[in-house]
Amino acid sequence: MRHFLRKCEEFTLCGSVGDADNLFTHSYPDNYAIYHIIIKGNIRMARPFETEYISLDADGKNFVDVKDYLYSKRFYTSSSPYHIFGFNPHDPEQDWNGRLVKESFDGDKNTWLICFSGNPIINGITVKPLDYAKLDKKHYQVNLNNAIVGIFTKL
Amino acid sequence: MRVIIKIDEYLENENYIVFRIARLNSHKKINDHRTFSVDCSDLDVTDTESFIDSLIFKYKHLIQEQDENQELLKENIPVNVDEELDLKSIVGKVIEGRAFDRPTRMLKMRKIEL
Repeated sequence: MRHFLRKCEEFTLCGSVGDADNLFTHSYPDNYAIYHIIIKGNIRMARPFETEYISLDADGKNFVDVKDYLYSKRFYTSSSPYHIFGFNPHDPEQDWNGRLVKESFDGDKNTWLICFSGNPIINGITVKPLDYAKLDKKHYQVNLNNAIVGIFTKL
Repeated sequence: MRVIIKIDEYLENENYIVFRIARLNSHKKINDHRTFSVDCSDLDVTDTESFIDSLIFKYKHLIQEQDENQELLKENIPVNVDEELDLKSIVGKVIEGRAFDRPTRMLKMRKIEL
């Protein structure tokens, strides 16, 4: 499995790519992901010794709020080859609201957009995977083209 | 990483020690590093080796914190470089990067204007 990380202006995006039946731990303070986005495969995330877990599925629940796990020890298991991302605010105390883009929307200055997969066309610009942008207070015309695009707003 | 510690004081009644910790090859004297106090009941007091080992295991993160809080040498201050790679233009420049303990690589992202 391979892990990736990129520190951007107000957040850090982490990523992991691996095979089926991988098991890894990734906990605070190295991991302070509050949202997970999965674009391939299946991952289960849990706190050690707890029966409850979070299921991430590229074909279903692919954008998941994991704020409850922020300061916890976490382990991850994969049941198929996977590609997952984590959105980490630089200040763990700072709350953010994240969601997937489904259609055109109005932006604001506290919001960042990240393209996780595919090639959406936003305001006439063809966006590539792992392109990101700080938004403005204006309308964003979106042709999603089955892409996975997230927006994250600092509250 | 090879580490040194120096115990400045043992407060017998409270069972606390006051100590300093640094990398063996730190360019600062051990006495120039700040002091920390720790309750010895949180440490392994079986013997000296166990004691030192448990102290270092518990507080090794302080070394990194100290390193990161240290003032940068003027000559070591990194500069921003263009995203586009031009090897000739970066010769002689001090450039910042990150090294990870685990096999973590940089995620290639591109900032765009929409």
